[in-house]
Amino acid sequence: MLSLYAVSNVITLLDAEAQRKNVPTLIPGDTVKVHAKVVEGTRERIQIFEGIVIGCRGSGTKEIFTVRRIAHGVGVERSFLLHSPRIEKIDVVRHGKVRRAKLYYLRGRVGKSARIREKRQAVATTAVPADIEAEAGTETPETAES
Amino acid sequence: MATKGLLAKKIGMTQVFTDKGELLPVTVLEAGPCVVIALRAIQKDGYGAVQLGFGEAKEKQLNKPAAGHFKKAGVAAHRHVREIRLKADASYEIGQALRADLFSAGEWVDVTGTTKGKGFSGQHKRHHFGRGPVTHGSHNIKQPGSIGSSSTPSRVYKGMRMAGQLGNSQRTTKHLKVVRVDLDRNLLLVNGDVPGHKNSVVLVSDSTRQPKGKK
Repeated sequence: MLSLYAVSNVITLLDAEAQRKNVPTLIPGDTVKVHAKVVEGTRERIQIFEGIVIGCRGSGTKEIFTVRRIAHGVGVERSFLLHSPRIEKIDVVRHGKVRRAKLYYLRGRVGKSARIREKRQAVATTAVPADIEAEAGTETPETAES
Repeated sequence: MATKGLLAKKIGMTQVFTDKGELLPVTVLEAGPCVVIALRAIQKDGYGAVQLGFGEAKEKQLNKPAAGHFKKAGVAAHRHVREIRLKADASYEIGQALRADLFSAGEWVDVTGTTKGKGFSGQHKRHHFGRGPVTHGSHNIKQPGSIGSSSTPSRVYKGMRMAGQLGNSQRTTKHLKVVRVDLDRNLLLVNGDVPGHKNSVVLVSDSTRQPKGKK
């Protein structure tokens, strides 16, 4: 009854359920392909957003990573919730060699100076979350975008 | 007035994803199990209500009148006993157990509880007053300011906001959405925050403020 569960126990359990298994560990500097679900009218399709992870923040269910890419000459940054059901999968294309946790210095750079050297020893991995189900959501704005 | 309700324990807050991918802040409530101890009928008692018990109590913790009350109903002793006023004489039976399945996901509820006590607090914390300048020799940092005019009316108006006890009072958060009902663990997940600290007992009832077009 009153002491059926330890308080932290239930919360930790619910947190663990809200989180997806099989999500890759993203490190700033990684080049990733994020397969995000996009709703157009009534149809739902998958849009790939490829770019460099310039920072991760938060922990647990709320972990957020920001991806930066140059689209048609314009820098675009988009933040994703790592455990969001709106993400189909995340491919890590390559690991970058960086010395900072937040790569905000890339914002002021274009072209050659915006490159990141590749970290050689790590092997690129693909993670497909096992718990995906095709939800037929009708309308939703993506959690965050810029 | 509510048409149904139960006592619950506030377990804490967390965040869950909806099907649409939104991350919602939720309060986790352990919904009972509550046992119906007594019924109040309009004809007999002048009002309609159901008396619920929540949380186990040891025999030795009870005084004789309370023990007799539970014995009369034929139910186990409970720590928290509360009557819930109901709109209509709903069909409850003495000894019946109420659980999380009293509510369903998507329903609107009101949650009543006792807020966290903040003690004797000043005007700034209690009524969100501004403060005076902190430098240049100011003696007016945490003073309340003027509390009225002088010879007319020669007194302070009633209800003037001043320092005093803050918190530890009963409050109702209205119109919260039930995000999920977990029958296995007997949990209610409610969108948003509810009054009280963790482990405090709250009353969950269906909302008096139902969405438009639905009575």
